[in-house]
This record gives sequence, C-alpha cells and structure tokens, in this order.
Amino acid sequence: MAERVNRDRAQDDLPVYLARPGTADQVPRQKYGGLFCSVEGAFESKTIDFDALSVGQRGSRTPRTARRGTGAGQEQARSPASDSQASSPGAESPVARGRRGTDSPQAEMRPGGGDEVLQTLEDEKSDRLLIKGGRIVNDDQSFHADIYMEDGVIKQIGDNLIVPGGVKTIEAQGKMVIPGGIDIHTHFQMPYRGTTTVDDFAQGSKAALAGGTTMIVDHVIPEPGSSLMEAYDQWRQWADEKACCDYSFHVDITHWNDSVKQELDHLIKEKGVNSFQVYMAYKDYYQMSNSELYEIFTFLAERGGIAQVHAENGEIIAEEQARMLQMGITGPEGHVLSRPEELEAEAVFRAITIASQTNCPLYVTRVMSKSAADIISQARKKGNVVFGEPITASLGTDGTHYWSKNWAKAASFVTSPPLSPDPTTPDYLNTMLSSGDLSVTGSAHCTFSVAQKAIGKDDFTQIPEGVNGVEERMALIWDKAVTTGKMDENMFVAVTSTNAAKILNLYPRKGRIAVSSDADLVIWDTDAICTITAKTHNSAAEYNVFEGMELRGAPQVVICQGKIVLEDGNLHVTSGVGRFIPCSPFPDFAYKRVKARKQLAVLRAVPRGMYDGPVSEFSMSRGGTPSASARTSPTKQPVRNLHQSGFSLTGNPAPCGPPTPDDVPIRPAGRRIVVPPGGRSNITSLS
Amino acid sequence: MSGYQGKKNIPRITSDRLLIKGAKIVNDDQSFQADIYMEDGVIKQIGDNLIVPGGVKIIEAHGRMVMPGGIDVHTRFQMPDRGMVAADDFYQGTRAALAGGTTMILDHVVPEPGVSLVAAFKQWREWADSKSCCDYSLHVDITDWNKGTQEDMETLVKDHGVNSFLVYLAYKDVFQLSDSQIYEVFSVIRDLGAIAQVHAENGDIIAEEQRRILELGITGPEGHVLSRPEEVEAEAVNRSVTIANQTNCPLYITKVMSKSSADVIALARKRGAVVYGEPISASLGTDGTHYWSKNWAKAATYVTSPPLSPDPTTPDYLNSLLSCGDLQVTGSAHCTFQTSQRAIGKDNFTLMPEGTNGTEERMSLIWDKCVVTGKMDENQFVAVTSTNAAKIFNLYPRKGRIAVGSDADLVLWDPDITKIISAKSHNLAVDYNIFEGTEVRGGPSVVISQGKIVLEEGSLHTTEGCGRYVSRKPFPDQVYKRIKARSRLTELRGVPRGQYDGPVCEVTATPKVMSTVSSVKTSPAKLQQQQQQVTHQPVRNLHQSGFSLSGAQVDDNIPRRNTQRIVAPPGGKANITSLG
Repeated sequence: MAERVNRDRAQDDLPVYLARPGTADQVPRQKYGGLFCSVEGAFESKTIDFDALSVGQRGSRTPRTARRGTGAGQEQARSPASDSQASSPGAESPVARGRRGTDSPQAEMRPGGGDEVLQTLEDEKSDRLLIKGGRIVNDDQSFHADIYMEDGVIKQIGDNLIVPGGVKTIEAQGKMVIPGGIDIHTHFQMPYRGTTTVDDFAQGSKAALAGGTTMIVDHVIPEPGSSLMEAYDQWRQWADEKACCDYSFHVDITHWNDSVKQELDHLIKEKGVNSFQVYMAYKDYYQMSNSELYEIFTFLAERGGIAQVHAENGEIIAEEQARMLQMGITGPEGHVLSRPEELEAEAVFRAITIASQTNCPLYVTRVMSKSAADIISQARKKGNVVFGEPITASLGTDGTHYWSKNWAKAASFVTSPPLSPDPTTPDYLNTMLSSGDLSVTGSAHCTFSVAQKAIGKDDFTQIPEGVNGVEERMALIWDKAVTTGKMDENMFVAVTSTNAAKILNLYPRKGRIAVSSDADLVIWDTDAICTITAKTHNSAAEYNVFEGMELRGAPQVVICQGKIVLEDGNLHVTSGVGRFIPCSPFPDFAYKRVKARKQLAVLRAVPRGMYDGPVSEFSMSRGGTPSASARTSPTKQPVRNLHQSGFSLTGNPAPCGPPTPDDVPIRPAGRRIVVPPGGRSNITSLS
Repeated sequence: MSGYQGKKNIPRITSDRLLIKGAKIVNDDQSFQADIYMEDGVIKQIGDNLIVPGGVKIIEAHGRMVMPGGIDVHTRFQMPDRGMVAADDFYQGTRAALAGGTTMILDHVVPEPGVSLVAAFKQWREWADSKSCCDYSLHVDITDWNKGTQEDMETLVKDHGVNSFLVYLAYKDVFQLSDSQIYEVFSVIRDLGAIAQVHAENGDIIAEEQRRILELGITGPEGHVLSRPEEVEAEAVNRSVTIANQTNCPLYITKVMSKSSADVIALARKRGAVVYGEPISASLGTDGTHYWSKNWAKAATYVTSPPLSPDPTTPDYLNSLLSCGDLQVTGSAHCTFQTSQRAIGKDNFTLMPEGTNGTEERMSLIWDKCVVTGKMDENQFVAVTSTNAAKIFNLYPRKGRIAVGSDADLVLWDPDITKIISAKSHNLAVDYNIFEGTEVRGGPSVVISQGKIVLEEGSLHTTEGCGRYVSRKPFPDQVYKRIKARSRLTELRGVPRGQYDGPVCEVTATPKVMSTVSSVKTSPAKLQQQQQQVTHQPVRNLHQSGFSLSGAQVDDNIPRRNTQRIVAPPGGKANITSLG
C-alpha cells in the first residue's frame, strides 16, 4: 500500500512533460520521425508470457496484468497477499517482496529479508534483482512494470511478478528505468606515439558506468601496414583484462590491400565486428583515396558491414596547416583554423556520394558542425542510408575555448573535426538529434593528460587529439535535449542506446528493456542536479571540456550485467568483467533498405547490332579516358588490344606522342573512308 | 567627321564603315533606340542623327534589336585527342559560331601532361591565328602540376593575356589533379588574379564505376552516363567550391549538366561564395535519354562529360536557373567528332572521344527556351550570352556591350525567325546534330564581326584567319573586387600566450606524420616547415631534461593524473598550466 502511494507521489513529482494524465496505459508514443517508427515486434513484450519464463512458475497463462496507476482497483487486487504461493496466477498474485515501502521518494534497495519464506535463499544477492515500481522507458513507449532479472538477463516484466525469495529489490518509486546507454564511439587505452590515452579500459568503462552507459564500442586502430587481426587481438586482450562493462569493437581500416580484405572478411564472419571506419583525413597516414573508399564501401556492402567515416578533407587540411604554421600560428587555435567546418561538410558530402554509388550504409562519426549535420539531413531527405553521430563534446560545448589564453585549457579541446567556434552549434545539433536527422550519440572519449597534449606545445599539428565525454554523455543529452523539450524520454532512449544497438545489430539484446534482453539498466533521476568538474569526474584527465556545466538529470542506479554498479553515488565496478559482444553483419536497421535498393538498381545494356562502320585510328599514347589504377582493373588492357588489331584498314597508324601540326589531319579523318569494306550498315546512319 | 563627306574618291570599302539605322540597342542593363556608326572595327558613335562620312554602308534595322555579339566561353575546336583531331577546326568552328550570332569564342588549350603550358599555348595560337574567322581568346587547362607549371602560368598571365585556367577533377591518371594540387593551383591562380575553372566530376569514382559497368557487359554509350551519375558531378562541384572558398579564389564551373550540380552552385552563391556556373548549349537544349537509342551512332553523338542528364526536366530547370541569375554564362563546349572517330569506342564506351556540338545553336536555343517562354527578358539574354562572360574574363566593355569605343561585334536579332536545326543545314563538319529536329524561334539576321558584315540574308562571308587574339588582363573587377575585400578580412592571428612550461610527454622517435607532408615536388615552402619542426626538437629535449625529479615511481604504470605528481616544478608553477 505504501508503495502504491509512493509511486503516485513519485509521479506527481515528475515534471509536466513526463507525467501521463491519470494512467500509465501502454500508449504508443506520440512522436514519430521516419526513422523511429516503432520497429517490428516492438509491442510484443508487453504481454507477459509466463510460459517463456524460466524462473520456475508453471501453468499460469495470464491475461494482461492489471494496469497500474488506476488507483483503487489495483490496491484491491494486491490486498490478498500470500507470499509463499509461488504458483498462483500471476495477475492476481500479489508480490509481497518489498512491501514495506518507506516514505522516502528515493529508490531504495533492500535484500530479501528473513521474513520471506521462499524456497530459494541464495547469498548472491546481486545476481537476482527485482526493480519494483519503475516506469520502463523504451524507445517506442513508456509503461509501468516491475522487472525481474537473473544471471544478467531480464527474465520477467510485468506487474506482480512471481520471483524466488532472497531477491534483492530496488524500489524505483516510479522513477524511469531506461536501457543502459551505449556509447558507440570511444578510444580507451589508445596508443599514440608511444604513449597511451590516460583512460584505459578500466578507467574509461568505470567513467562510462558512472554516467549510465553500460556498453561501449571502442575503435581498434591498427597501425597502417600492420595486420588488422593482430590489432584486434591486442585490443581484445586489453579490454578483456580491464573492461568493467560489456564492449564491442569497430575496426578502423588504415590501409587497403588484398590481405586487408581477407582480414575484414574474417573479422565479419568470425570475430563479430560489423562496422569499420575509414579516414578521409590524416593525409599520408590514415587517409584513404576516393578509389579506395569506393572499393572499401563496395566490399562492406557485399559483406553486410557498416561503413563509418571520419569525414574531413585531409588534403586541404594539410595545406591549411602548412599555411597556419607559416603564418606563425602554433597554438591550439591553429587547429580549428586549419580545419574549417566547410572541410568537414565537404568530406561528408563526398562520403555520402560514394556510399550512395556503392549502395553501402554510411555512418558519419563525430558530426561536429552545423553544415555537416545539414548535409546528412539533406541526404536522408533524399533517401540515402546514412547515420550521423554527434558526440558529447559537439552537443555540449563549442570551439570558442581554442582561443583561451590558458594553453593547457585550449589544448584540452583539441579534437578532430574540431569543435565549431560557432556558439549556436550545440543547440543546433541537439535539435537535429531530436528531429531524427542525427541518429546516435557517442562520446569519442579519448583523453590525454596535459603533459601528453604538450607534445604539441610549439606546433598544434602535434597535439594528440581527443576530448572526454563518456561519463557526461547521458546527462548532457538529457539536460540539453529533454529538459528543454526538444525530445521526449523515448527519443532520449533511442539516441543514447536503442539506435546504436540497432545499427550494431545487437538489438534487442541491448538497447531495450524486454524479456531476455541483457540486464543493463539505468534508473534515471530526472531531478538530480550535478556540476561537472575535473575534480570529481571518473576520468584520469586533468581537464574536463564541460568544466563548470550544471546538468539536470543523472543516473541514480546503474545495473550492468544484472549487477548493481552504481547506487547512492557509490561505484562498485569490477575490472575485467566486461564481455565482448559480437555484432553480426547485415543489421536490419540499415540493410533492409539497402537490399531493396540492390534489387532495383540492376543496370542493363541496350541491345544493339554490332557497329560496323568506319573506325578512326588513334594512338595509344595517352588514355584520353580515365583508366582505373592498374592494380584494380586487369580487364581493360586485353579488350583494348583485341580491338586495335581488327582495324588496320585505314592505313598507317598515327604516330604516338603529342601531336605536332604535321600529324594533324586538316580534314576529319573519318571522311576519307566513305565506303568501308563490307558495305555501310544502317547502324551508322543517322535516324 | 563632316570633313569626310566631300571626299568621294575614297574607295568604297563597304564593310569597313557601317551605319545601323533605327535600331533598338539592347545591352544587359537597358534597351534604347539609336543609330550606331562604326569604323575600323570599333563603334565610333551612338545616337540619333549621326554625322557620318559618305559612302558608308547603311543597314536599316527597322526597330529590330541590335545586341552585342555573343561570346561563347567554352569551345574546343581542333582539339587533339589521342592522335585524332576534333572534326571542327578553328575555321569551321568559328564560321559556325558566326552563323549563330556568336562573334567571339574562348577556346581551351589542352596541353598534354608533361608539355609546357606556354608551348601548348603557342601551338593553339598558331592554329587559331591561321584559321579563326572571329576574335578569340584562350583558356589554358592545367593537366599537370609541377614547379614549371607555376612559372608557365605566371608567364601566360603576364605576357600572353591569359586570365583563366581550367583544372580537371575527372579523367583519372590523365588530367586529374588531387585535392592538394588543386589547392595549390587555386592559391597560385588567386595570387595571379586569374579565374579558376574546373571540370567537376569525381574521377576516382567514375573510374571505379566504369570498371564495374564494363564488367557488367555494358559497353555502349549508355554505359557512359551510367558510370557518371549526376551525384558524382554535384560532389565534385561541392568539393571545388570548398577548396575555392578555402583559398579565397574565384571559381568558375564549366559544363553544368545536371540539376544537382546547379543546385550546389546556387546554394554556394547564397552562402556568399564567389562562384560562377556555365551551362552549355547541350544541357540547356536536350537531355540524356538519347544515350539509350538503339542507333549506336546516334547515341554516341551525345557522349560528353559530364554527361547529359537522363532526367528530361533538366534543360528546363537549368534555363530557369540561368534566368534567375544562379547560373551566369553560357558556352557550348563545342567539340565534335566524326562517327568513325567515336567508333573507337564501339566496344568500350570509355574509349569514345567526348564532346557535342552547340556553338552555332547556342544563341537561338537560349532565346527560344528562355526569352520566348518568358523566363528572361532581352537584357538578361544579352547578359548570359555575352556581357557576363566579358565581365568575368575582363573583356568588358570592349566586348559584351554596345558603347562608343567597344568593338563592332554586333548582331541584328530577329525574334521571329523560326528554324529547324538539322545536320543537313548546319555549318559543321560533322554529319549529325544533337539538336536535330528542334525548332527554335529567334535568330540572327545580320552578324557584324570586327566591323564587317559576316552574315547577311542567310549567307555567310567569313575570312579565314582574320580573327584576332584578344588578350585579357588579370584581376577582373567583376570577380576580384569581392576577393580583395575578403582577403583583407580573413587575416588570421594567433593567440598570444606565454610559453607552456609544464611537463611534456615523451614521444617515440618515429613521428606520426599526420600533419603536413604533401607532394614534395610542388612546394618548397613545405620543406622549410619540416625544417622548422626539426628545429623544435632540441627545444623539447631541453625541456624534458628538467623533469627527472620525480624519478621512477612504483606506480608509473598506473595512468594517474600526471601533473598531480609534479606539484612544484623547478622554477615555480607557471600559471599557464593551472586550471581555470
């Protein structure tokens, strides 16, 4: 009873935009962007099929559970409590555990007490967890239900669940329970010229968990020329030793040849990687040419991978950097001056063009500027399969700090593409994220200490790049987008977790609160207010790019792999428990459309008779038409040779080399052959 | 002037002195009624009741329009291609131009990669001087980029009156330049006060697509358009606009063939970029559906790059953009090849020589598509066919305007003439016309070039070799006024800071060359910069040496906040590293 009251109270406490008048009915959410229409099966898990549950109940096929929040009827249904009747029908069976609610509006955790008389009394309390009275927020809808999880998997959702005894219970008090965040872009423990980013997998994933992110996707960056597999194994080793939460990998393609192709194939088929990043920047190092991009995209499209791009025009940047240094600009402001946002937009445009040619789903990492976001939005309107990822830094702060007089502070903002000096950018990107034009959020968390940044103290091109953000991501988006009314809580779940899971083909295991999904949950406190500062953050870096920012909304309880890792502000993480989550190729989210297009885009030749009219002589000295790079097109040469051999009728071939005036026939050469041998065919006549 | 009137014995050189009476003079800004008197190829007087010497040939205009002769900004007459030569040479080509009311052409010099620009330029001069029937000037294409090229460009601008250079984003491994090269070319062009033209298509993607399409067994002309989708054109336009903006260089897009690339240009102009777009006769007058013609020879005649768009609404769209000023000038990209020359590519579309006709039809087509339909008025017509080109390429007001002192290149325009374009009646050396059967309204009734009547009552009187080379000065006002203002504004300044004297992390010897090492051959400046980087090394080493105080620690392997360990560096803590 008390609990009931508490929940109602908690709901009263909710801000207006969250409160649903009178009922917590399962109403499909109101907001539909094209992308975020409810997915297949989205409405299935609402009916609790107890047969499917493995907790030991039997028999009871129940109708939909009675609805919560409807007041008296509900209370009546709960009153005949009988704790030991494990097998009683679910709907009418009350769940007594944790009925001794407190009057505190805070969520509360309590181990199963001695007064519970259930058969299973286990000591591993955190292995079985029950969240009572939470408001489950998925990307498509929100509803009130209890969640029971065991062995790191959600086993039951519904009201009045029948659960074994000795279960630790968390009273959510009507607070939101959301799927744990997925940070789709991190660079933990990234080697850089002999040093390593200060946040390793332990530190980084700890910070992630502290911020409500329960899964990270890190980038494997093989040195150009070295094996992708070796790099992958290396990263796996690092992460397996240290990660505190589940993780997965993107692999960056830093060079391109046939052996890389084989390794990609292996990674996709055997190693559970389905997304690969290519760089359009970092000239002479990571940068890929347009032809290579084309080949990589073609390859990925065949194998069901997602092509990610770091989109900046590296060639122009190299030129601009040289110019800046010549002008004597060596500080961090040179970084942003040499990488104007136009170059980012240009590269995004180019990547989209190539992806559209090759019919490959494209994922643009780190959308940092308005113009890049605009291009993505335009392309999506034209129907391209492209996803944009703004990062915490671009959503939360701007590039004016590059001009800070404090070198160390200015340097801490250095990342590529740079933060836009336009202070309206964060707001704009948040709007685009809310409208669905941008799809997912990452942090691109890649932190260096001041000493490491100081490698570039006399030359901004040497400053190691990267900003923090893994810890702040969820709270920042909540503050910037939800409390401002740009998006609702469901959209919040979509951009912080669900969309990422869909793109990586991890859905519904991750990114959704549903039966048999992973027990990665966050109880979100919408009222918490915290101030970000480097003094209290969980990253090892001395600077925080969001220093001093006050954010509303924070995780109150974080559950990762079914274990509570954050409660009452205390982090309890275990290094090395993180599992590698393999991603399978051909995620439906991207490839359903791509497959349909493939069927449409079949090209056909026009059937014509053979042309048998006169053919001019031409010299082979110069390919007037482009031939692809030699290694890619072995087919062309023979065709052309065959062709030449058949046409000696016009006499002496034109000499090679650049034509001199003597060689140049004054009259068109073709005129001389009026009657070709074999007669003039009608194919050459004009109609 | 009146002194001449008595001298009856002066030989009557009829075409040297001309009076047009009762004409409606149409310039790009206004139209007005006046007589025009010209002598020695120059307009001497404009007004009513002019006093002119006797023995002057008089043309009665009867109130019809007289406009500045057209300027075709893009032709490729007599262009060599793999040992062949385009079917229309400078004689044939300029003759056709005059027949259509165009009195000046700007041809492209296409040096073979490796050949000096100046040598190629001289070669083209020689060809054109001996054959051209009307005034001409030359753009020079940059097909290769090295140190010599830059010197050549300077020579051309300073001594040869060239102020426009074209770079190719397409034709991989032949003409194509990389983005960095284009950046450098644009910087040079900006410093010289010239105009950067681009052939905008992404050559890398095209090469890949061509390979794919040949593998699919598509070898006919439809493969040409399939391998060059308009997106690829728009992408290249977008990229060149970006690079031009970075370098603050005026940009001129040749051959705008598709809606999407026209849109990119329009958008860039709205954002304030100095960019000009040139649709050509073919893109304004016809579309790319003919690539699928069953008749191979016909389909092949449409092959040009970028290709005509298969979208049949494209011509109309481009005409609209031309009328509203989003596109500014029109050329023809006239470059014709005989069917037998095209047949080189009968089994492989990539080998086909590219180009379409259009120099003769250009004026009439635009009149018919834009003025007759009410999209633009006669003044705008003059602007897009002649005046804008003259302004951009610094020929104004000598060309592109009817004014005292301007060249006597005039066209008496008859808006009522209707004509059906056909290969049978055109003035070209080839036996097809891509506008075959198109009925156009409006055409020149009299054409005057260099003060001489060259077209009258349907008959052409051209003189081979009388065309003069018109040299063009750099820094055209129309273009460079804005550029100059911008370059003053965009000066960049560093932030004055104290020396950073905190701890510096050690890096391994192999430097990550993620910064700026571009093509070595091109920029001597880069070397300097690398040396600079080298000189930084000692500084860093010095610096590092100061921090051995903390020594090896047990917890060195634990990545904690490094600076916290060094609370008091020797010499005191600098405020530059403190937080705040």
